[in-house]
Amino acid sequence: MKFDLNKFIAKTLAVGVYSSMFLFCVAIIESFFKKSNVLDRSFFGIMNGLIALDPNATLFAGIVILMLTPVVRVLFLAIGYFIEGDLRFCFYSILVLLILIFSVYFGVH
Amino acid sequence: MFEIALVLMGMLSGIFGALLGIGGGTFVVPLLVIFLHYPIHQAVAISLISIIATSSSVASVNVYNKITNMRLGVTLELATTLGAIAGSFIGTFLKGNVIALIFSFVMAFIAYFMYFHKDNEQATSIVQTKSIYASSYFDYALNKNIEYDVKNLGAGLAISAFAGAFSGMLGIGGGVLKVPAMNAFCKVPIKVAAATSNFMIGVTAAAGAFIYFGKGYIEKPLYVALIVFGVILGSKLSMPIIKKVSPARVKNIFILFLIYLAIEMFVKGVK
Repeated sequence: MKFDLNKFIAKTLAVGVYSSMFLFCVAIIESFFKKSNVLDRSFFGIMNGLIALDPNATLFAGIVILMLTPVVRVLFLAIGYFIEGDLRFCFYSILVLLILIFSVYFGVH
Repeated sequence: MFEIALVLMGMLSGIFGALLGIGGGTFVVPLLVIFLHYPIHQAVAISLISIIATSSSVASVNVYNKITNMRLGVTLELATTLGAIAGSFIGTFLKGNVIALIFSFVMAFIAYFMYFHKDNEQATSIVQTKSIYASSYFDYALNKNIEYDVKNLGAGLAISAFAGAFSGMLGIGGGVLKVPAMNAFCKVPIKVAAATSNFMIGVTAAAGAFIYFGKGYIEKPLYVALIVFGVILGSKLSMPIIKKVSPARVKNIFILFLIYLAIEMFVKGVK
């Protein structure tokens, strides 16, 4: 089957949005059973909270997935252009990705 | 009760944004700040996240239907993401009332622009030497394949950087600047310009959102989820409304509402 970059990117975006919406729904259900005052935004804090079915941690996980969706889309665009042999736009995508990583880095630190 | 108000605010933002064709982001910040007395930096952070959600879900459809020009999108993203990072940094250092004042001027400009602007519906003439950005899309309304080329990329890059900076500072998508610019300067058909701008907005908003997230402006994640739900629901609900009423007819009412919000934001800024 021929590689279709448009379908690949469209699916990436849809999966990102639906996963975060799913986590938001789970968090709202969790909040009926458990009150959460946890506001740990670190990676491990969110992961531990997810396992403990903490509503706030589940919400943060949904938010982080939503924020990462465009980042992953840029990464997959770079891979897609590389597969298609379109090296100029592969390079542009990598540059955008580096700018986004810079933003993530300064967001965290 | 407050939770229901948040979903309603999100829905209103989604409907107004879709009917005016400027995305929900332009309305999220003023509605939260004016009616729910929300701190402006937190409102900007929530708005950026709701923009990522609506942009990604709409872009998914446009990319699948090959309306988006991804090559043009990724090139302009170089400028728009850098602009967004600069705008977010400036935004997080500015006082709330200064942002409110800048917001009110930008909204007044958008209202003025929406009132006088007319889209250039004509497709560009096809020249013999095509650039690497030349593409085509199938227009379902006209029932034909439309070929086009991209001109004046420099102007597109400059306006994208500018739009990105406003996006990061104010939590708006910036499509209101990018779509007419791509249409007028780059000679891209309006449907492609709207789809490509929407494609870029998600990345622009993400670049800004990480900075607000890292600085702790998302204190109540539940509120973010409720507004995101509301905005997505609102933009979906607007689709049958758009089919029934002519957007041009309701446009002036929304422009008046935009002016009202601009005045309210100005008053907030001056206080």
